[in-house]
Amino acid sequence: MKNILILVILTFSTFLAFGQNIKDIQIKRQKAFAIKNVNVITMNATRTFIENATVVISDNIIQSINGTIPKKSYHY
Amino acid sequence: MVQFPKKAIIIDGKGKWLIPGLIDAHVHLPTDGYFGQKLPTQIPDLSFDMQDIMTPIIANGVTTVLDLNSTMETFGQKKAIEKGYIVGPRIALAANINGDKGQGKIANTAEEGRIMVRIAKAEGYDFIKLYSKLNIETYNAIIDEAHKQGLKTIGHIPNAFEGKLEQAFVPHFGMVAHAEEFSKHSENFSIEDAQKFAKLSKDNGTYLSPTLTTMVWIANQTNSIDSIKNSPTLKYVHPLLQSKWLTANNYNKNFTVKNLSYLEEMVKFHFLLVKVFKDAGVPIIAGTDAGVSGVVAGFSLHDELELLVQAGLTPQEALNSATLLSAQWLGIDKQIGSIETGKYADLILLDKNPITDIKNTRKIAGVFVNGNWIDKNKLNFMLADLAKRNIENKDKFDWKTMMSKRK
Repeated sequence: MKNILILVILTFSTFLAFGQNIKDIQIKRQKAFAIKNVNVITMNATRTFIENATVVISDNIIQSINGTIPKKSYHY
Repeated sequence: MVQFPKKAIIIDGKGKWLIPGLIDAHVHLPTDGYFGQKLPTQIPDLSFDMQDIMTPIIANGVTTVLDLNSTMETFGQKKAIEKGYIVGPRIALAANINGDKGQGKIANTAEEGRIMVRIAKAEGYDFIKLYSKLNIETYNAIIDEAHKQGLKTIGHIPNAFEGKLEQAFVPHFGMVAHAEEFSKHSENFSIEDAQKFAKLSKDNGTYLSPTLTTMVWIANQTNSIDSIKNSPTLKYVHPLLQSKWLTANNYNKNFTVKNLSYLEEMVKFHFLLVKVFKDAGVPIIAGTDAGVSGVVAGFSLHDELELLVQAGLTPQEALNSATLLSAQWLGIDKQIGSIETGKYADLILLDKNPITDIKNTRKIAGVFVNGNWIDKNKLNFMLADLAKRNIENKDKFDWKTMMSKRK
């Protein structure tokens, strides 16, 4: 039991130590983003270039390019 | 129908360009240092702040790196990033295998080579790096075993192949890690030699990562240590490494007019190699060898892209060498390397178009990395904070004092 407690304290303090820089500068780690009106150099196999596109990202994945922007979004 | 959370942040991309996050296929990430005797219970003499190592990388939009001499500590760095404790790039890990008494895993027979590959596979490495002191039979066995284990190989062409370079191009030799690996086999840096080398690579399906920037830096610091002292990116390097680069610089120590002249000719030959390899259809991958004195991770990839364009790649080809093409060689092109639905959002928002001028990859408005959006102001804040602390701590770290602890 004592060992588990020590492990929990160590894990938590390590997390705090690691996380400090990130917290200080308030990086946006949000679930969803939409980049509007952007020129996309896709670098895909056919080198597609998309002008004035909207790129929607959710959970760190590109969900759509020129799809619908989620409701209740706010500007950054 | 994609389901979104209630709130999404909207970023205005008007007048801006979005490109995939960049891949540096040749870095050496610093890990904790043991200058005295290394014992099982001993703490290191020097522990790097992991965020400080990663900040220059992500601030430059480099969202994936291939570390070519990984240790168990590099596994820890990778894990900390994946868990979100640190904002950093994706890290692919290569186990370095060398012969004689060199660094990394040591193998001096074919059987030892195969064992080291299997150990590396079991430990979780993604790639095998071949180093200079391997003998021919061990080198061949490592490449063969790595292929059997599903690991690609990248590296130097061992010294044992002097005078018989063509024998190094065995099936499944994945990528040559420096243009220098070819130039050291050329007596007169001729176009005929460049064409011969390109044919060897093309016929064997071996890629080239020329690391042009490394040799430019080596020539510059051989000529004058001021090239490092006056570098605008030096302040982002840990003070101990700054001290090493400035006070224990072997390149500069080996200065002779003849040596400098040779290096300058070699730099020119490397540019020629890139052009000839491109014309021969050899895939060229962007890598920097960051960690070599003067070569600062993150910033150096933009230097490399510029040099690749100077050598004859178009800006789009240079960008490809650090995005989709690199992801394909790494075997992760289904996940990253281009902006496509379903891929990870490793992205750079640029203020200017990099296809019209490759220098515009430096004009970063923001970076998406590991689920984080970091805009220009925050990136600049992170860099300024790092530089400030490095300057404040400069006098606390002296390379020669640290080295004196070695027995």
